[in-house]
Amino acid sequence: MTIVVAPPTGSPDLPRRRISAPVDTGLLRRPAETEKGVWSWVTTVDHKRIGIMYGAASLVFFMIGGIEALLIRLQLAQPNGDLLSADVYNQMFTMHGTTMVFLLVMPLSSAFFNYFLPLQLGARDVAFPRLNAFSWWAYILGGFFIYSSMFLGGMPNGGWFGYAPNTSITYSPGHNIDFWIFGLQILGIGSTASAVNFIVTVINMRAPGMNLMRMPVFAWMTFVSSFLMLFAMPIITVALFLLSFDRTFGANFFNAGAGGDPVLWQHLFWLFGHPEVYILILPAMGIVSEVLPTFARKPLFGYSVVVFSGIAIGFMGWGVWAHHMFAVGLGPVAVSAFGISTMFIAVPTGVKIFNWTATLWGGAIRFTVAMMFSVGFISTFVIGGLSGVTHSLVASDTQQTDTYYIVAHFHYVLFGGALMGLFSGFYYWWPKIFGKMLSEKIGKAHFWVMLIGMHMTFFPMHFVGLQGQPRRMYRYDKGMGFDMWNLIETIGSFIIAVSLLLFLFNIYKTTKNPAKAPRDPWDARTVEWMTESPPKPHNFDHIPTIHTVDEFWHRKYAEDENHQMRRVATAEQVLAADPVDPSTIHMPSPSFWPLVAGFGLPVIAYGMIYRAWPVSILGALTIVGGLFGWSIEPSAAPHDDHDDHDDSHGHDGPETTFAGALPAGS
Amino acid sequence: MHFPGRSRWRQVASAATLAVFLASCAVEQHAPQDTFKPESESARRITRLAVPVFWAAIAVGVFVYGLLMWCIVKYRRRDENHVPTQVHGNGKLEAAWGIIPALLLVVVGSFAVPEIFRQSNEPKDPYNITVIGHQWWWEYQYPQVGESKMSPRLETIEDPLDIDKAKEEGRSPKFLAKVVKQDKPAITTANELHIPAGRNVRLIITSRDVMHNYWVPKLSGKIYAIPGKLNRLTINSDPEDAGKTIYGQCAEFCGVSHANMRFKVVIDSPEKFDAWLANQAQPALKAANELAKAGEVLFNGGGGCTNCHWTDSGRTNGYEAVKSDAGEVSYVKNIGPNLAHFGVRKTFAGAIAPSDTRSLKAWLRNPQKFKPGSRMVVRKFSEDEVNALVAYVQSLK
Repeated sequence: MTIVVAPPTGSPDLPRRRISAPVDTGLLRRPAETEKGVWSWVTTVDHKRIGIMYGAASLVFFMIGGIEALLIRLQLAQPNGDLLSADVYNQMFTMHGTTMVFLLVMPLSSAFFNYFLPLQLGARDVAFPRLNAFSWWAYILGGFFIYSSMFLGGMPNGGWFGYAPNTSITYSPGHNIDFWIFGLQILGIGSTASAVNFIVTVINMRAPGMNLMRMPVFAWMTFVSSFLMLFAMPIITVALFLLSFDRTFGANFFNAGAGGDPVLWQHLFWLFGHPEVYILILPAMGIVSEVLPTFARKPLFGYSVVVFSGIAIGFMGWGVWAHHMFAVGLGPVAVSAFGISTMFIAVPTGVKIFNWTATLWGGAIRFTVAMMFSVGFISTFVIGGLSGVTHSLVASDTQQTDTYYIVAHFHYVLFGGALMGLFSGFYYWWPKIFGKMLSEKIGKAHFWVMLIGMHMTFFPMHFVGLQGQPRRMYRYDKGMGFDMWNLIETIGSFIIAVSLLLFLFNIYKTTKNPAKAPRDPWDARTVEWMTESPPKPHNFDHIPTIHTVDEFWHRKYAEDENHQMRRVATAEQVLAADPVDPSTIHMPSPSFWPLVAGFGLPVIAYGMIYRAWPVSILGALTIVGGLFGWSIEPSAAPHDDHDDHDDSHGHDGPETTFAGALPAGS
Repeated sequence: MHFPGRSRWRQVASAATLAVFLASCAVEQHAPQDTFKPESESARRITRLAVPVFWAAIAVGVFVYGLLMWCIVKYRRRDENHVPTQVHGNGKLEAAWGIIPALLLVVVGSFAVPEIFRQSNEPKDPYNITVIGHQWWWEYQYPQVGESKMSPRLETIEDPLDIDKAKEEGRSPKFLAKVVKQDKPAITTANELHIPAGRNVRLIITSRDVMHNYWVPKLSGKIYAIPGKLNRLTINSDPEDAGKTIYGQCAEFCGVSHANMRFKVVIDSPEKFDAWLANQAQPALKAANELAKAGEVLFNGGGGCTNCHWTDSGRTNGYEAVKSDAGEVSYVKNIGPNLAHFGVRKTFAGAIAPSDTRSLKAWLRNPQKFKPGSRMVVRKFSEDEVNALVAYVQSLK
């Protein structure tokens, strides 16, 4: 891979400019690198800290989305439930979907991308550290923005799919939908920026020797889903712009009466929405592909096939969107084509399942909690995948679409699938991130309770769906045959809630526990374990040279004369390296500017919603000012102590420092 | 190898699985929207297509679970120092588990795709009914007695829903809407669809406002009702189903009272259907008793009911811009269901309540309590007025 790029920020000569005196960068004082406490987190550009913040915030939103789910389930526990009013119920399912997709699974995946992508690549940080901080601020401010609607007239209530013309100003006159539109726009900006960041990081920042086919599968899946994000987010952005023009300026894109087409919204939404599904699931697949080999003590079976299946899913994911619209009346030719493409996207997915199973075959499996979640992922994802195949039969999907059968399907894929994979990641990488082990004992209870709760909640949805219970109804009548299953589902949902409390308790207990984790607790295989836990700000003292996917493992094990793998080195021996003077490694300095720029986004949005144009202009100016301050601020603060060897080593900015991490020739 | 503890655990697990399975089979609940108990040929075709695929999916699932369980049990790490052979893959195997599922899917597809075309084909000699979705009820337009064809078209009008807002803002209504126009007068009714048993009925479906989804699980799959678009759906029933009432439900989220947008399909014998339609085409009987007469006066006068409701099935339920001789445009909003022959309908308000005296009275006192978001605005009626109105609408046979 020899892609030559200019230094990522500024003109090529900029990072080489010699900076000798402390630079006044405008309105804001430069945050000191020694900053402690809250400000060190607010101004951080360290991918590891940003990853931790993503993870923590997404867990908070998980709790909120979970409470919404419990309220939904309580309402439906019995026929004609009246816990919530119809409108509040609609707000709940809208926000449950929006929260779980945009504020939980995407950012939680992003948390793992952030933390582990540079580590797995043997890099010191992502390609654009301040842009990374900006993405984080866009995410958290976008999340707060959407939820601020709770206190400003009511939360969005048009469904996470926001079908026009129900979301038009005529049928949804309140501001609920506006909060949804602008909230998603803000989140979309953050996601798009992240996608660019991760793609550039993968292309440019791999350790010497790590060609693309030596990249860990999680990094690969990050790469693929970043491409999906890069191309999918603009589509929803366009759709939301059209909708907000309809609402704010009386445009008629989706108004059939004026010649617009409400079906256009569905096409745009699902053209985004289906790749989005793979954005949600591919990271979890990546995590599972890391965890299974580690605990089976075998390399991933068919690494290249797993990687190419992921890429194939990423490509085919663009050609199946209309399977969300089989009942819309697109005509038999169109739906046949989409039915067939939907059928065949099952092939690469099935290949992955078999490859994972074959990874276990003949292994020496150790059932840690991380492993249990990964095997749990496979077992539930299979059910979701198979029910997915039944949707591809167009004729029978016209019976299933918009029923609880679909709800069952995508919860098997996204809760049983994506979230189980992400939990596996939590248990697997917790000692890496915090240097402490999550309790395996509580973790096992967490796993089993969650597995039971999950099946109890979502399996009966297959039955009631096929028995004719439509989705998104705030109540159902007696005598429809739904009563018993719905009650079981509600009980199941509370069992899931218990399992999550166990997880939180586990975190709490682990934090209190002073015991340190061993350096290589799982006998791991990939590069991210070839440094301390938690890693230093600069990740690696020495950037390792990569010879194989399972670099770390092959440094610990080697074949003996009988072609038997034998341990030849302990993790400590592998990690023991020549001490490096940390002052020779220079990382990007903290910065206020990403926050300033990000802060402008919700300000613009509030102005748009309340038609207070000056406020919007103020927000826009904040962004422009933030970006200006950002661009004139050198990415690394000048250091007195290295001024004299500055030019020879090129230590002005992270970009030059990162050059050490670039593969030869790039 | 023998694991005493584990085998008991496995017994418990398999017993539990079996119990769940039996329970799910044994539940013979009354499920009037069960897609696996079809009552028509087109719904049966769907079930015939789906059931073998379900079994195949279950078989594949059992196979994968078996493999997984085998690996979990067999390859558990028993010796901490054991390092298994480092197998990196096997091209032939991987090709096999790519190709075999693909071949399976080709077989499935060869059944599934022709069915798509079969379902979308226009049946022979269909009986047309126009279906219009409204928030949150269904309007039906039938061809004149003795005819079976309809060719509705969509026309753009200024939207009466925008009238009030336009007045407030001192402008003319500008939100435009597509409404159905028939080339011949049609017979209009609401909420209860009557169809002749044993005949192919071709529904022509659209929506007046937002997306709806017309679904009668036991008779057919779903089709969206989309503003500005005419969709078509064939439903039919077996001749022996005459006399049955089938449940239907709007399946697409369509606003606050989506859950309250239900409907009934009444399957009549052909003779009964003809008689029903002939009656629908007639003007309603004159109010028979004093109470009903008082109700009629109130309905057409001070009650304000005619702002939104017709009681004449010849007037298609719609929105009419009426031009006076002076050229001034005024609007008849007429946004409620046509109440002609309301007395023969078994349910009302989107089939969420039986049209008995008690429910009707409760409805008239507070429609929004029944149906959140309902556009029906009522002034506070006295007890006598409520009684009179209920007597009147019930007398509309």
